[in-house]
Amino acid sequence: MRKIITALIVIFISFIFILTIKGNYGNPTPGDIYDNQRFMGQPFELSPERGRYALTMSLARDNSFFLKQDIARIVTPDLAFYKGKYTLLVSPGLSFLGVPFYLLGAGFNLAQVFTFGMPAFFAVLNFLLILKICEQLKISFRGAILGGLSYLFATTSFAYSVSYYQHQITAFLLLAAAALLFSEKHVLRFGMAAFLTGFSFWIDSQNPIFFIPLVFYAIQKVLKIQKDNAYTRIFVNVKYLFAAIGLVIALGGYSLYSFGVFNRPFQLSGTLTSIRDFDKNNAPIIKTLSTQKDTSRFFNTRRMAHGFATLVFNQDRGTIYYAPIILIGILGVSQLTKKKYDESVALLGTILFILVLYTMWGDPYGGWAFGPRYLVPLFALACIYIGQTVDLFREKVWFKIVFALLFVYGVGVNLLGALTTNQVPPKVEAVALGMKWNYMLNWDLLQKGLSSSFFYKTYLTPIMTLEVFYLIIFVSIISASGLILFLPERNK
Amino acid sequence: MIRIENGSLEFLLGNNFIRRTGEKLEKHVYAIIIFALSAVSILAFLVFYQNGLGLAYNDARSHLDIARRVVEGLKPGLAQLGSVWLPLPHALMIPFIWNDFLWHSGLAGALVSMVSYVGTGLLVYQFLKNLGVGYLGRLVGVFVFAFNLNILYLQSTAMTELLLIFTMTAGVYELVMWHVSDKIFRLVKAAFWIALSTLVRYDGWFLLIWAGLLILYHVYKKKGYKAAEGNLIFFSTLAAFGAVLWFLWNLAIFKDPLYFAFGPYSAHAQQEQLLEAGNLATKGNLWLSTKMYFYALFYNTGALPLVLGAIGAVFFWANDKIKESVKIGSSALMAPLAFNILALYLGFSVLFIQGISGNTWFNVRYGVMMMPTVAILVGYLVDRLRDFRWVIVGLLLFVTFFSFTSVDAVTIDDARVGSSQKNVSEVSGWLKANAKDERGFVLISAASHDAIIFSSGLPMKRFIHEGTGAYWESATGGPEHWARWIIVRTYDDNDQVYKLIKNTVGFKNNYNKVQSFPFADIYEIKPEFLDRLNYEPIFGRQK
Repeated sequence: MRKIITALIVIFISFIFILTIKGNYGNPTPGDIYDNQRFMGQPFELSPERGRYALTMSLARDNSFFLKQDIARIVTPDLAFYKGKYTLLVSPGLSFLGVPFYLLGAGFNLAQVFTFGMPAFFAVLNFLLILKICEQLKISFRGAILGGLSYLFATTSFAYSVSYYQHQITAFLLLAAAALLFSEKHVLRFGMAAFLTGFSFWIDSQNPIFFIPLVFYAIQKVLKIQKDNAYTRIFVNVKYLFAAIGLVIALGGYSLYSFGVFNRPFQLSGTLTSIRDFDKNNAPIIKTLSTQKDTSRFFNTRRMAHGFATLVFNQDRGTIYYAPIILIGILGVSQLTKKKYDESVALLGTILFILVLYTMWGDPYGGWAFGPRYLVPLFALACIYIGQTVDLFREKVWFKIVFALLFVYGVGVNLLGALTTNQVPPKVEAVALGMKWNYMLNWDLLQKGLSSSFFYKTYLTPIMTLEVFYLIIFVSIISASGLILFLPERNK
Repeated sequence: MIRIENGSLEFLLGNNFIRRTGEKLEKHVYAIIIFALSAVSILAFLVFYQNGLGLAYNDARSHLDIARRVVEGLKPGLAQLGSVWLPLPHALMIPFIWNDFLWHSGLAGALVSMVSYVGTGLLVYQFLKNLGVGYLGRLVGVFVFAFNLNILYLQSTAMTELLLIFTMTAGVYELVMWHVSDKIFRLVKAAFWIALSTLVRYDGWFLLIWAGLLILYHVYKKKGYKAAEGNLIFFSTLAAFGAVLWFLWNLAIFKDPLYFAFGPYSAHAQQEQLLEAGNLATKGNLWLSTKMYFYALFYNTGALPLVLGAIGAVFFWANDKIKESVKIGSSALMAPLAFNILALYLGFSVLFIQGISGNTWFNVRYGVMMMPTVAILVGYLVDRLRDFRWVIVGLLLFVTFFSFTSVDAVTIDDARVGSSQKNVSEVSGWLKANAKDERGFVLISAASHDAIIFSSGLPMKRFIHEGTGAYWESATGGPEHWARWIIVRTYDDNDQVYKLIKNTVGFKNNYNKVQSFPFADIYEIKPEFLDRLNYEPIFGRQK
């Protein structure tokens, strides 16, 4: 029965993503992207999508890690310059993973849509992993589903599932590593978790830091301590040391790539010479030295108070404005920790490491973005605690009402982002530009009928307004989730 | 013992060995902490010294000069301790300051701060131990205090913060212990440390009043008014001794017991100038005062320790198992918070935060005063939240690591780019190049230009300043007989030298302005008047 329900929900989720994936029909050329698709509501409205897609295109089309000038032109200002060649200022992992999707889509003249579908594919996997981890932590099926749905639709995860961003992949790597480690101890599982830890570096260079609590969890799981009257024995099963090979393979692979491309084993893309734009003669304009990044200052503890306020409280990016349902998870922390101490501490540690790290980040806003995009992996882990909270208060009507209100609000807000734009300026910039700085900007676009959805733009524009389309999806998600929330338990 | 058996690496430890090791560690824990903190302290001093940061604060140079004038100069003696700052930090430097290296490296002052740093680390440990906190919580508390980059920087300088932190924390610790035990000796010790703190900075005076009120309340509740009055008088006899001495000192030296408070070099006079210039925005504004100080707190303690400390405070004061008297006694830990907000509100203190008070820092280091309190509360939290202790420890290590990689020390910014710094190297460099190997005195106001005196590298006896008695009186009346060089801020009457000599015939006719720098101008006597100058300290020993 569980499998059937899971399958039905997966089909439902996939259907929602198909309706909302950002894109246009066709296999866009660099010229198309530069001329027509770099604007608000278009799939390449922001430089993160353009940059990563450009590398995917270069790999698929030119079999090259470097970008030809026509492709390079669309990547600025995230363009790097190395020995006369152009490459990305961001980590290349997402672009590599996107290649099969690009090639598959290109056959249907939908290279961009398929490539942008890749994060949605991982979002579905993340939902399944949340169910798996909840099962491992003895959280009910209902709690797990509600936690998973909250993650997918009531947080900013939604908007970043239907565009070409790395956040769903990072969330996948964390969830998969956790699920592997929480399973019965086996060297292969540990090896795979180690591989995922190393591979996370391919996706974002700061990612491995988030795995530190899981690494400690793995170490304490490998250690066995026995005490008798005379001695204390600490056992370490030697074969688990070989699990580190997974890490070596992933990081070794990266160093091979980096050495092949940059002649350095661990070149951080973010520190390469940065190109601001091209001049009239197509010559690159290099950023001044003062605006180049310095690796030693990526994270600055001085920024923590401001970063925390931005990511949690501020109107332009704050979690309480974009995903308040996450706060419900706090209620489940204590109970889950009592029930599954080691696992809960590992998860909580990871959540706090992500939060603390991004509070120190130079740009907690994530540039022009929809909501706190850096916290998407955090939301994935936090939703496990939402599942626990659902269990804790499963019989309380007040809780169901509060949950439903926050869920409805979250879906309402985040569907706006998914259907319109991620190009929302932070307040500091928006005020100067006379723009709105949070989802009210998306609301305006909804009313104007400006949608980024491939499905809507391709098939439904003549049939219905964007507001109706929004309402159909909104009601679908709310109805399906409401059914799960309010359906009486079988034993009653 | 290590062995491999059935594919497992086995570490075999005898329980006796574990127990004995534990006992040994427990027995020597204070020695271990002293050793570890001393090592960290010396290392930090070397790092900051080698990077030229040890003397970045102008005030650090002034503190060193004050102490130096006691042992060397045209009129050495205890009177040189002056009235601008309270005397204990300078008095403690005197055993070291005679040495030119210790003076000019700042080590004479830093040694006092370094010892205070180690002492405060021990106090944090001891405080937590007496609150019943386990080893991990105690060590975390010490770690939070000892690895705060602002604390590490200030303990490497001749600034007074660490000595104040040490004496105040010791005073509060003994006061809390007295609340626990009611033993009179604890009260004597509390009075002793608080008395010392009153001789470091006026924050100590506030603690003295706070402690007095706590004693009054504690004894009154237990034994009634008469006993409370007796205890308060007993406590105050020693605790207020330093403050009373300071009044007497001002009366004896400056003929006014309140000279330190209202004299021309007092903080009050400085604040009056700021008020006139419209730079004392916190005065009369409680919200802004609170906001400013909390910003300073955030920047000094770090956001994570402060948040954890705040949660720890809730756990501490909400814990029913802790005696109410201990909770009330421990409220003295909050004295620096209350004092600084009140001082800002009343206009006795000034604090600039970059971004709020324009683009500069000033006195932001005041936020560091709460560091022991935060450390104690974080240690307490780690002990209470047993389920999450390793998460907290992990986060603290994580954030501390990044605070070091990003060199996040607001006190360094305060010293280097804020209003606390003045780049006097041009003036002092001129003096070093042109006056060091020549004969003749330099007339200068130490109140305005102590950093120049320090940085010039010239011996103190080459300078005629406010504290040189007959030399000062003679030189400011007729500079042409005494001063080969005069350093002044021309047209600024706040510069005492300019104010006194601007209308003298000698200054008008006998000097050439040889250099002009942002913070001071240099005048040199014309060559034709050189033979009329005094080159020797002819007044001998002055009273």
